Amino acid sequence: MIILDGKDIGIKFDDRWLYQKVNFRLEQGHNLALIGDNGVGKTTMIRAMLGKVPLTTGEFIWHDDSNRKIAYVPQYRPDMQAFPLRVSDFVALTFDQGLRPWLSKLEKQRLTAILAITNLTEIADQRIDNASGGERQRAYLAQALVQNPDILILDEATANLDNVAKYALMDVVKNYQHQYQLTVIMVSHDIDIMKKYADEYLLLTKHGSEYEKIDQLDVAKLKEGGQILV
Amino acid sequence: MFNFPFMQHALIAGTLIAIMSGLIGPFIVARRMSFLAHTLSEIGFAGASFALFMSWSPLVGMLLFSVVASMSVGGLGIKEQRSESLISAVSAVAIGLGIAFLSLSDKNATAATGILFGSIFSINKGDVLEVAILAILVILVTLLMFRPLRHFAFDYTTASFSLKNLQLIEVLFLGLMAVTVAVSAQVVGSLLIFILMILPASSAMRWGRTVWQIIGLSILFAVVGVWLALGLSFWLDLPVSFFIALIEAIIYFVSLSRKK
Repeated sequence: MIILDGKDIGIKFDDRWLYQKVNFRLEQGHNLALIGDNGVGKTTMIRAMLGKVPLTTGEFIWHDDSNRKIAYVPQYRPDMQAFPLRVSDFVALTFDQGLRPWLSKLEKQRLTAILAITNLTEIADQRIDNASGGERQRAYLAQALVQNPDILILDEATANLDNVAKYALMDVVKNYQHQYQLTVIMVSHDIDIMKKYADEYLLLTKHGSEYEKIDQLDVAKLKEGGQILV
Repeated sequence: MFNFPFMQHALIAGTLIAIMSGLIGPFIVARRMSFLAHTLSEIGFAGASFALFMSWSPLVGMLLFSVVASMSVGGLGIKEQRSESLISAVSAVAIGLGIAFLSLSDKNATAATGILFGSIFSINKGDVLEVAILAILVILVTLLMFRPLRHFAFDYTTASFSLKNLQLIEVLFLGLMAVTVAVSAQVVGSLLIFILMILPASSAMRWGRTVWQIIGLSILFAVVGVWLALGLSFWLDLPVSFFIALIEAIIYFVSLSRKK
């Protein structure tokens, strides 16, 4: 099932077009890789999908019901390191709706389940600022998943992880995705990760866009580190 | 010493203010708005002197100025809110206004020291009632918006995407902050607002591992500081603010030396 159609999307800042005529679709349960050169505006595209940035041309057509929950795992987390919160408490920060100051029984169960899925149960009582890069990234993921999202957006989630940690993280995403029909959009520069986990890709360039199945991706167009050749 | 009515008033007002400041403090520290809190207290000083000039209660003037100031800050972006030079400029104007109103109001130096350093032993029954109503209001509102506030303060990056009414929460939070500043200034004075709002919370952040632990410890540090200071001040006849500052600073330095 298609849940989102992007039609002729164009975004202009001041007098400069980031991109024009971007067309793509998002299928439920699929993983869409968002690719493009640094500064081309991948994060801006995501912010536009979330309704935080206005489109200059075109539109997003959503086909699912309007109660869709989108969880976003941002690339930079400047706020996190100053506080010695436990991993479990950090993950629970996204229980942010309602008037009850404490967690309900259902929410506690949900938290425990997500900590288990993201392999964080053992370090749930440890401080987040003492956790390794991979553990932190899984905690950010858990924080997003605990909201029970329909769509998960990962912004460069594997960028700072070593080879073992990045596959560990993406395996967690994949398992969860298949179990719960989660739709994933991932911004990435990592060709191996994209080839292994994505179903489709959307390549953004200044001149337009390319939307295809991931096996159609011409690696020759991408230079070392996944940057697009000009 | 609890037979004296002034001591009873001081104890009730002091405790309520400590609980309120201890509760709101961790959110301010986590959101990195400590300096804004300090600036609000200087604006509050201007408000209190304005109130003297108009022959109102200083609390009314403080509330008026700090709430209006915090609401206008809500209109600014986060970058401007943390801009040190902007904050310095606003502080300077606020203190200047405060001095001007004080001199215009023809009040003696005691009034000025009261505003700047607090005058908890001179508050009467009516003042206690005012403090109690405002403190309970702040505590209730904070508890009601605890969930969004927690996300907003402790992880703004994701909160800005997941909270739908972010603007409203921000404005309410600034409002809570302004009221807390105005009320706390009754005890510790507008110059020493840090010692009840920021120091206990910063100390608590070194020990607590959950948001609730941090808040609990912050309230504990604030309340213990106020109680001890009231006692010491009664027996040694030195200002309460001095002892609160000393005790909270000691707690903070001990917490700092704790290994992370």
